[in-house]
Amino acid sequence: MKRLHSIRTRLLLFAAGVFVLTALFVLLAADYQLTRITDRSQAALYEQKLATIINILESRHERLLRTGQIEAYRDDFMNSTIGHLTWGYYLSSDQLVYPCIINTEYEILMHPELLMGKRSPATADFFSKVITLKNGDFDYVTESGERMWCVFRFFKEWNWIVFYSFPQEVKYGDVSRLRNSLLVTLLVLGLVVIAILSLIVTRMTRPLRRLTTASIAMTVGDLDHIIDIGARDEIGILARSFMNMRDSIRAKIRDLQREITEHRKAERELRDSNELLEQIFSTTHFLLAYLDSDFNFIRVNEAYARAGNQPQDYYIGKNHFGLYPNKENQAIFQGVVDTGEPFSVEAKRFHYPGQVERDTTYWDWSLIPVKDEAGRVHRLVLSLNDVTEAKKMEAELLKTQKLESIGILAGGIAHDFNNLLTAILGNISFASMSSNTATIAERLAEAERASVRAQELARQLLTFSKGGAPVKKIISLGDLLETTVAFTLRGANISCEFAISPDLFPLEVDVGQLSQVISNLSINADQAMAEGGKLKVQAGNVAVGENDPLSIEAGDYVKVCFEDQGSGIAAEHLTNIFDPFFTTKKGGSGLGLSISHSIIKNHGGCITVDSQAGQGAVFCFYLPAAQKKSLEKLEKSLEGVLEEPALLPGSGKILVLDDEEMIRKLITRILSHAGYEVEPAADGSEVIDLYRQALKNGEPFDAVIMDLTIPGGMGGKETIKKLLEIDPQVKAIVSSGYSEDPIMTNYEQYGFCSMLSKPYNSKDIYIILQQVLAAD
Amino acid sequence: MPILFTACSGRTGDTSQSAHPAPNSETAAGAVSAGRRILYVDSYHAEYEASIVRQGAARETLEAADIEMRVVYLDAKRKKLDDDLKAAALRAKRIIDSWQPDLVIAADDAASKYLVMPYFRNRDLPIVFMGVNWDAGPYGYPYRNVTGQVEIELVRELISELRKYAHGNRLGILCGNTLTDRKTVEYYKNIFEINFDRAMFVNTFEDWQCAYATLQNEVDILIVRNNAGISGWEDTFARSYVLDMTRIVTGTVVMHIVQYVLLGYAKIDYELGEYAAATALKILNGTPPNEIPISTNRKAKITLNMSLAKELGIKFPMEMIEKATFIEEQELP
Repeated sequence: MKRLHSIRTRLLLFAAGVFVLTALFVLLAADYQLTRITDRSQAALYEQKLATIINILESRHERLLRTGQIEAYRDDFMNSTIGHLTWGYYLSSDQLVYPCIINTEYEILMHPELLMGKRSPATADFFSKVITLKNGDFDYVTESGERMWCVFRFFKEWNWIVFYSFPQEVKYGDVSRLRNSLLVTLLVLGLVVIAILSLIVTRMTRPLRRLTTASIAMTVGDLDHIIDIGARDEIGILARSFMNMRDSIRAKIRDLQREITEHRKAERELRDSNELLEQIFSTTHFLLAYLDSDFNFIRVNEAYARAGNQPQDYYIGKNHFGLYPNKENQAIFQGVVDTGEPFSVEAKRFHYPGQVERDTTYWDWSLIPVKDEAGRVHRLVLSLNDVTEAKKMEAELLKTQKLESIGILAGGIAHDFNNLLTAILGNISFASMSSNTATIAERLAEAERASVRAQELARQLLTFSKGGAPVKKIISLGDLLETTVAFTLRGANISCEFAISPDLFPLEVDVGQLSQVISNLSINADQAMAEGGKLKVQAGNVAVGENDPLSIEAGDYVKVCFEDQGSGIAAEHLTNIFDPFFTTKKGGSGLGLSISHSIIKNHGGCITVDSQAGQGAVFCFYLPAAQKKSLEKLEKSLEGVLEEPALLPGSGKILVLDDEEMIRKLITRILSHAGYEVEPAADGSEVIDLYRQALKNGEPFDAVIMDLTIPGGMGGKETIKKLLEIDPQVKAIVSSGYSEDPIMTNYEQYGFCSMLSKPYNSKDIYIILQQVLAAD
Repeated sequence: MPILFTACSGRTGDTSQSAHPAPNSETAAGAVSAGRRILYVDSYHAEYEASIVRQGAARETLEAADIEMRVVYLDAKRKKLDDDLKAAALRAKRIIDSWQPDLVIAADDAASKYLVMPYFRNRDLPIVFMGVNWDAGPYGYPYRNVTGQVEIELVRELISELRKYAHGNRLGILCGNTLTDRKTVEYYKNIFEINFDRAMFVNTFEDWQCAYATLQNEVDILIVRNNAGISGWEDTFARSYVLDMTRIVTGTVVMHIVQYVLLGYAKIDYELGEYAAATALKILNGTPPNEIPISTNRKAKITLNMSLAKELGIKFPMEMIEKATFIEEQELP
């Protein structure tokens, strides 16, 4: 059946069919044409034969006439003629057709079978027709059913009719033979053609059969079946396409097999992973919670439950922010749900709600969105890690290293302070001894300038020495970089060259920590160039792309490089250079670069080193440009600053809280001098009473300036809470020498309107106060 | 001096080709004799009617056997002097000597008399003669190297046929008063033992008419031998005269007389030429001439005068009708 449906068989059958039809058509056409030709040729032939006989008869008759005795010789001539014709026509044994002669008396004169002179009833009709027509031809059928043809001529002188009558089989014998020959020829030709065609088709379809064999082999999985097709025709193209398809399928199968293997492996791994995750989930000290998109708990691990002093089942179905209300965090959670982007934060400070007695803790936490098939976030994985201890250790390390740095700086700073103090004391002493007012004013002014320089020096030292959590603010790095490097290298025997781009991106950084990094790198360069040299400090904007090898997110960065001409770092040490306690310096703590690395990393940046032994070293750090939101915030905070307020006269009723009497007096004098009505207070409780009383008296305070820390009393942090309870519209300004305190950096969250960093001068107070009072 | 040697064959002078037999010749003679040469010595001239027929018959047979044939004429009809004929024969001999034919055909009496008998009697060169009238004896035939056919008139056959329609046995002959006719009658008598009851030799057409009328009553069978030597002969009148006057069966052996007689039995010149060629081939194929007997001619051209027959009330059998030619057929358009 398959062979019957093969292309070769169908082609051959088609060719054979076409050939048979063609042969039939040729045979029929040839038969038709040959019959017509035979009719004409036979008619002409027998007309000629008859004409020959008639000519003989005419000749004989003419001779009869020449005898002059026609009647005497007539019968003799007729008989003699019949005798001659019989002798001439009938003695040849190989003849099939004989002429016959009858006369109009229906007498048979010459016939190969019928007796002469007799009349045959069987032939009466035939003779009658011949005698009637005399000339012509016709077809007829004998009594035995044989088809005959008769052609005849009339010889009127003797009333003879000469005719030929014979079977049409004889008449068309040549046609029949030719037809048979043609049939045989066509059959032979057909067989030859079909044989040749079979060979050709076999040859032509061989590639197809090979393809078929290959495809059958493919169906049973044999993809290595060799397909040797050399043809360049369509079949060759098909074969090559087929082979390509086979190769593609083979590759796909291999891929699928590999994928299946990988999938199984992945399944195993996933199962293992799930088991592992389950184990990790159950045993990890990380606090893990599985939430839906409405922040309802689906599951928590034991660590989470233990941290909350609740059984695991307690959380199921409860809302996270029902248990731990926090608008900021809820916004973060919602943002993750809305954007599908994960969120993470390191060392976020946290107070257990309602558990004032518990210390502030720090948590690394992340929020991982889990998306459904539609790509929507429908689950959240909350991971919390208590890094309080690590944070404390890091702070201790920072302090340790800072002390080390301070120790390094101490000599130079002490020298400067001594010089400044000498100048201040000298000028004040000189002024006190002088009676000349002008000289006194000049010496006091000189002492003030020295004091300002000392203030600046102290600010730098304070900035450098501050600790705790990063307190970020928007800065332009240029000034900090130059000041800190110069400050650090004060007294060093190396020169410094700056190449700082004037249009550096603003940065949102903890100035103290960044100063520590700059100082560490400067000290590192100084120590590397013990014999002196030049430090090149370069800063510029760079754009970090997605494919950048740096391990930081793509975006705009400020790149700062410290290039020294020191002894360089051996290649084997490069990988450990940022490890804690790793040092090649004699007496080094091994913390400077480690702390710098940690600080930069905490700021979302990275630090790199490029060095070869004996060829100096280049340390570079990248810090991300400040975000737009932060810049807008900065601009808003600077609006009042940009509009230089008038210093005098001021007006309003100001309540001042500070535990230091000297400070209370100083502020009172400064503000009174500016026209403000000032009420000092030494404790938060006193502030609350004064404020409530003034409010009750209908003479509320326009603003409250509160020191953040009141030793042994209620500081600004607690006081503002009470004031807000009394008067939600209270305008409070927090003041502290610890500018890095979270309350100072996030004062608005605590209910303050502004902050005032110590030390400050009168101008600082005026500006802040006018901004706060001018605000609605 | 007329040119007696005439190139009549398509192979004239091409001896190099004629020396080689035709490879495809399948005739009995041609198998051996192909490429051979035969010289045909004609006693008369090229325009002589009997010579044309005889020579043509011989040529037809020989060329079929791929034999080259040349002809030389002695011109005996126009050369009456004996020396002239001898000279012509001598030139013929020289041609034979130079051309070296394989056989010579000597046609009619002069060739035998002036060429064969004086130069080639019992020689090696085979010779076939023909047309020697009545008797070969005067030339000494047969020779060792010579055979042939004597030419006779078929008068016995004629008389035998006429007897079938005659009313009696009286035999008469009428002819011109010439030596030839008189000698012929002698030959009839001597050779065929035919004795005529009446023999009349006339000089004029009027005498002929008178003699013809006379003979109608004196004989039952009349042979009209010839009209040669009869002055004032008129064909048309003679024919009508015969139709009017004939009462007995008449016949002739001379072709140009058949129109005046009931039955003609004229010899056939073609037979003579055909015989000479066939005998030559037989000799060339190896049969010695002396093993071939001298023969006579046998075939006759029969003519019937159906008008005269009608007048005489004679009805010929169809066998005769079939074999014969009607005088009237020649006259009809």
